[in-house]
Amino acid sequence: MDEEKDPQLEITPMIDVTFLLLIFFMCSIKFKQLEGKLDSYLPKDTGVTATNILEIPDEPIRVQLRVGGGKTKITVNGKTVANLTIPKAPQTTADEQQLKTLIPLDDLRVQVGTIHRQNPELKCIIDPDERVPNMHVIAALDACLAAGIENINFTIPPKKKAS
Amino acid sequence: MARKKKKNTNEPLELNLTPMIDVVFNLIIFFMIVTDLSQKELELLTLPSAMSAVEDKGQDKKRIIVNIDRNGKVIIKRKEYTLDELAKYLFGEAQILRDPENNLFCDRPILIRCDSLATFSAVQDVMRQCAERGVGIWKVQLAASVGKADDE
Repeated sequence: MDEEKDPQLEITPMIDVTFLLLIFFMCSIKFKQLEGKLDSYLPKDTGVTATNILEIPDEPIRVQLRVGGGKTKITVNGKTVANLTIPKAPQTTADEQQLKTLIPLDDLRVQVGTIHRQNPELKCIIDPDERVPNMHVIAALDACLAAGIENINFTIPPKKKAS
Repeated sequence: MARKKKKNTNEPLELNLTPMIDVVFNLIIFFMIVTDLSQKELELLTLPSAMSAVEDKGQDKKRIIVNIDRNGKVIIKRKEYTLDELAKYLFGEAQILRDPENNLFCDRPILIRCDSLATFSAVQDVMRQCAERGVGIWKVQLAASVGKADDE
């Protein structure tokens, strides 16, 4: 009969099992960076048209983004609502994380929201110039969506000849 | 199995290094393969944040994913594309699934994942290609990371 009272702990299989458990749980957790999407369906019925904005009877809400002096100036129908600094190329991981901070454009949202409430039919046109960084355009789009507008178009400049 | 050796004294633990190294190598190889296989479509980018962003389940297999890096270069499935190559690629991809009711349009959605600091003109270029005659991709999605305010 086995009189052995002390249990012998065998480390090797325990480590194997621990590793296996680790792998199992790491695979079952979804590690995807929390990504979201902003639906920005192009107008199906008109596509990209070269219409003059003035032809549309009701003047749409123009959100313009213009770069000047290292900043992006955002205007709604000509009225300035924001002036955002364009960040320099990030040097550290902390700088890189800074790029992901939410930019709440409250003035833009309020302006657009007011116009939208007065005339819910109006569509919104976001008009960035060439050098506006993506994050500012997304922030503007975000603010317009938060204001309740669903019909948002982007201006698309004509194709450049040389590349 | 009768064990003759009685453990009355605390013996120091003997760690077998050989199996441990084997397991570690296996782990490394496993994760290298898994990561490579799963990340073929998504480039490593810093996406801008947006409050209105809806969580992306990533279920739609027919979705085309276009990445744009900080320099404005278009990357699809790890390959770089010039604007002309992108035009050809989108044209080809768009033929795979046309809108059954209207052949001018493609039923496949497209996800444009653009880095925060890239200029928006790169996104506009992709959108322009989508709207080209013969392509007709109209379901455009812009990727953003789900934003939280600083104090949340």
